[in-house]
Amino acid sequence: MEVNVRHSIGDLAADLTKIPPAASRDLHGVVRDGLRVGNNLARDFARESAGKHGKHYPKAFTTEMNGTASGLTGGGLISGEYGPDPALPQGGMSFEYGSRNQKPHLDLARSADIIGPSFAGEVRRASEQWFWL
Amino acid sequence: MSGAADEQAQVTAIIAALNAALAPKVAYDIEKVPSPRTGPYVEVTVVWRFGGESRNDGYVGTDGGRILTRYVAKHIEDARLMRSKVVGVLRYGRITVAGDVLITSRETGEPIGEDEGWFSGLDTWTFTA
Repeated sequence: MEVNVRHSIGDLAADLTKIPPAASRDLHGVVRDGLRVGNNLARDFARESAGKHGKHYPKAFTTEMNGTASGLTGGGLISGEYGPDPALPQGGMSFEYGSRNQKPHLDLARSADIIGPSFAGEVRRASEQWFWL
Repeated sequence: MSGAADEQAQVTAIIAALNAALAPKVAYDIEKVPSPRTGPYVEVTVVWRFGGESRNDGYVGTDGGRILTRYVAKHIEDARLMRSKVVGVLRYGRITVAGDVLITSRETGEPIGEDEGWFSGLDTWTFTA
């Protein structure tokens, strides 16, 4: 019987340094995909709920990455947001939560109920691959 | 949700819990706010949340409910007072409905501001049973 040592602690250290940039790349993708899917869901809900007086409202839904992560080091915050852009026609209307004379539509909240659990799952699945680079 | 209590019973219990803290009792289901509206009131909307797939494939993931409480008053201090009382009930609330306990927690909110000549603000809460 013999024991072959193929990797040393130095190899482990080298592997660990590869993880942050890989994590940054993968999680940017997860967040970007989550924004796109969440925004599509919310926009579809808005098309149903906005009615004739809100016909431009669904077209105001956009996505935007706004984090501070570094592609070199992998550190920082990877984030984005989606929803109606108030700079676009009808993007500033109070459909989501309504007002004292308008019932809430909850298009964004309904999309978050769907996208939230799947986003958490995607983050977990991405992280499981980093230790096998 | 266990389904032991029907949806209307849950709405009734939530509004009763809020009115127990509000004096006078001014929390109303969204369809039942008295008209014309003359005084401060809390408009309560209760909806059920369904996670999982968005297509009609019969799959239901996480579920629970969402409560919206909109505080409406002609004077901003009345709106703020109603908000503080509702927060006291729902922030880490437990509301019993026919053997089920609804556990509530805060989700998000909007500040109290001018709203078509009155003042209003809103909080949203999620609950599970």
